[in-house]
Amino acid sequence: MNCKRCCTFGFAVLLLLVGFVGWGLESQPVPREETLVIATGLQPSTLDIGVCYEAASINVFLAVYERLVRYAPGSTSVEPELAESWQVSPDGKVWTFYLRQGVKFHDGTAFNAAAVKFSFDRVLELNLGPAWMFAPIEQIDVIDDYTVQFSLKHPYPEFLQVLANIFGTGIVSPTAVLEHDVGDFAQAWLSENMVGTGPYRFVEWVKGQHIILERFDEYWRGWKGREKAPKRVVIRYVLEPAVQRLLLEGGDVDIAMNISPDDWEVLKLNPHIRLIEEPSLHATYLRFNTAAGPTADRRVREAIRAALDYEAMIKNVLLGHAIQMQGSAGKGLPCHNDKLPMLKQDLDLARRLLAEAGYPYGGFTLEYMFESGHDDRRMVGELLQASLRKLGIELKIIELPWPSLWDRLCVASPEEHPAIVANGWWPDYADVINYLYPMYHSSQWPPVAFNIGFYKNPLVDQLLDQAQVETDPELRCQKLLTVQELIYADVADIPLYHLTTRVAMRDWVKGYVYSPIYTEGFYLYDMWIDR
Amino acid sequence: MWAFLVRRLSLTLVTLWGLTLITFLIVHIAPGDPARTAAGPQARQEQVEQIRKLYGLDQPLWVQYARYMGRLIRGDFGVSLWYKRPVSVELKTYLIPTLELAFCAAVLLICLGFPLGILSAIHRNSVLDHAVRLFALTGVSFPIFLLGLILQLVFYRALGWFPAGGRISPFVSPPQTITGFYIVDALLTGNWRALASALHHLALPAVTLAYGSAAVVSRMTRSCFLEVLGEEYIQTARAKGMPERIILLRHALRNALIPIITATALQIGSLLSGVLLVEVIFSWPGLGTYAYTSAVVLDVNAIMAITIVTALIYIGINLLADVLYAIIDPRIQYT
Repeated sequence: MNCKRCCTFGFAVLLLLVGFVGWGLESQPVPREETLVIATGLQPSTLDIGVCYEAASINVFLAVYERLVRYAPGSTSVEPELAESWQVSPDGKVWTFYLRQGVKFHDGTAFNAAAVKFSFDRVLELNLGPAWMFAPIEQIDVIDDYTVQFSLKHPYPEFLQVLANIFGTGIVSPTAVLEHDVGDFAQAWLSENMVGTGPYRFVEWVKGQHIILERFDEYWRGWKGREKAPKRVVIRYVLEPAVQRLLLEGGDVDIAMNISPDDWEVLKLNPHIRLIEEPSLHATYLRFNTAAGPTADRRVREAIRAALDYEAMIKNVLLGHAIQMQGSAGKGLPCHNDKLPMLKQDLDLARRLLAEAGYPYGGFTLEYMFESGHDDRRMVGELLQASLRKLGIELKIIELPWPSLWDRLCVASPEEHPAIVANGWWPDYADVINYLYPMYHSSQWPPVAFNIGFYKNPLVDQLLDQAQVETDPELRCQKLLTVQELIYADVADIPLYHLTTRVAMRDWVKGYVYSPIYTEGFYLYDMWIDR
Repeated sequence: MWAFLVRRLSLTLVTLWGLTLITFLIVHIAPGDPARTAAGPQARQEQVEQIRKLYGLDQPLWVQYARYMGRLIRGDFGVSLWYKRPVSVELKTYLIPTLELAFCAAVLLICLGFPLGILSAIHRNSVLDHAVRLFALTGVSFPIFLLGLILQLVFYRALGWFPAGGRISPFVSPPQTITGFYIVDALLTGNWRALASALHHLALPAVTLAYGSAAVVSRMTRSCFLEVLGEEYIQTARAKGMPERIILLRHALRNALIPIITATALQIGSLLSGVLLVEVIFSWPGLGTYAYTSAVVLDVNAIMAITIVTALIYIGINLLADVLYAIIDPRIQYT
């Protein structure tokens, strides 16, 4: 008996010892002060730069891969990256890029024109995710080791913008791809590995936990004078925003990407935490069914547009974490029409328009659909519901998960579509045509693409077709401005707001610059830690 | 016994077949186009069609099912539409952390639930009994999500004793993979730093997961024990002057165990459903997160595989409970 007791006691002591010795071992000093830890919610499904088309990959792609050109920090203007300069033929169909010399991939091989051709050919061959943006490319030729030429099927004025976008544009090491190619263009291997030329190289991806990047010592820009740049970057996947806040306050993460609006207010009181909030280019709309039901009548659409309380939407629904849109394109982009009126609630106008349309007392019901998980869209629906009730219109709010919602919307018949769909749009590159063509050109009607309201205006189609190939920037801009005016006049939809991007960071993180287009990304080369 | 096992295993196969059929139908009949979801919102129609053809989604449903079952019999769960990798590889990546967490929670559940229930029964209406009742009450009434957050606030934020999430510190390399279970692998390779970090990270999620179930088991144990303690054979044993310890452990416990095992098996099974929330709160890279993502993006093969594996675990636990009945109570005979 005594022996048994001794054994039990011994086992308990052993457990405690393991726990405490273990605790001690774990709390051994680690180079925490040289590591930048970023907490974010979702991990990407794949790390393959030629396939991946998710915002969750932007942070790693921006650090590991480089493009021929990039968006300058904090702006939407394009600047050289791996290309030093470029030339465009007068007809806008041939683009020649002169490449930087002395650039190395993370596997030690040299970057050259062949690598550029290889990377883009791979994206076109795979034809997945971001490939549609490169469809106008007819051929890529290597002129010499450091000159590469893109021949296009037709003029593509936004080609430079497309090349600066994050998806499908990173140049990958051909040696690494060929080494791991098992007849799949190394898709399997690249889905879990990255070999680019960027300032940080890929170390490991522990699924669901973190991705670790390490400073690439042979980076072509050099590290002189940047001794405080983080040696290691850890991207931690923390789904729960409340936990991100805890980790940030505890100093276990340096940057948190998903702070809830309530926690944001609390963090404002913490002097050691810096909060950065900038309007994004993400746009939220209420898209009308312009081809069937009561909303096929422009006056009804205009009445609904006049009924919504925009001030309450920004102040009460979004708690100020958004700015109101002006027209259907991204505010702040070149060729955005700044002359369009800002929408305001006007119930008298709404009543008048409804009466003109033959509905003086309303008397009909509309369906309002939105994707699950977007509480802001649900609350906007409720706000609109309250306003429309005053006009005698019932709004039936329906929430659907994304696959189900798209199943409803990818139907060619307008009669089967809801009257209003709340949806969002992320532009891939900083050009208003990336909003206007997919959402308002009649060739993009369901089930093909994103003109989910079946909007059609022959003049809009004509101007967009012309803008797609117009090489004179001023003329092109004029056409795009007119398109925005026409869409506003036709009340194709209600442009609502641009949500802000909120980034919370410890005060020792320096050099962060918000990028309106690489919203989730970091220019890590320009950042440092000053504890 | 063997005949019983063979019959149960055959029934398991039938159950699994039914499960695959129902899940397959639900996943395919539910609104949503898996090819469109896999291609992404901005994909062109031709890209969607390419994916549909690549994964055989353009075939009639019965052909798809027959092909799926053909692959499943060979142990192949197919390729994930979303991750573009074999489902078995992904499943292994995410299932092992869940099993590790659930196993530790199950051990905690048994180590806490049984003794607390027995002590509570022996010291009926004492301070200890009331304390255990309070433990049970909080355990069953606290939402698991809230409990996790409170534990994080107390043990991470206020006291700094335990990490707030993750399976291992990002500053510690995971142990060399042998089984995939960090604790086992760290022990096998003598990687004490990884072992410490893994245990350290396991503590709070395991407690959160086990707490509610341990509460149920403790109450169940208490009531079963009290019932048995009132039996005449216990009174006879006491009258004969048998030591109380022997009465409790040899006579009372064994007779009280049958319903307790049933409750414990069900609770261990229910850990698998609770694990989803715990994984979200503690950033635990397990099956819950994988299941959630797969369901959202309608990853058909992944959903099927998760359902089958979860069902297998559940069936396995219940089978084990049945076998345990026979071992504990020789009167129970399966034919």
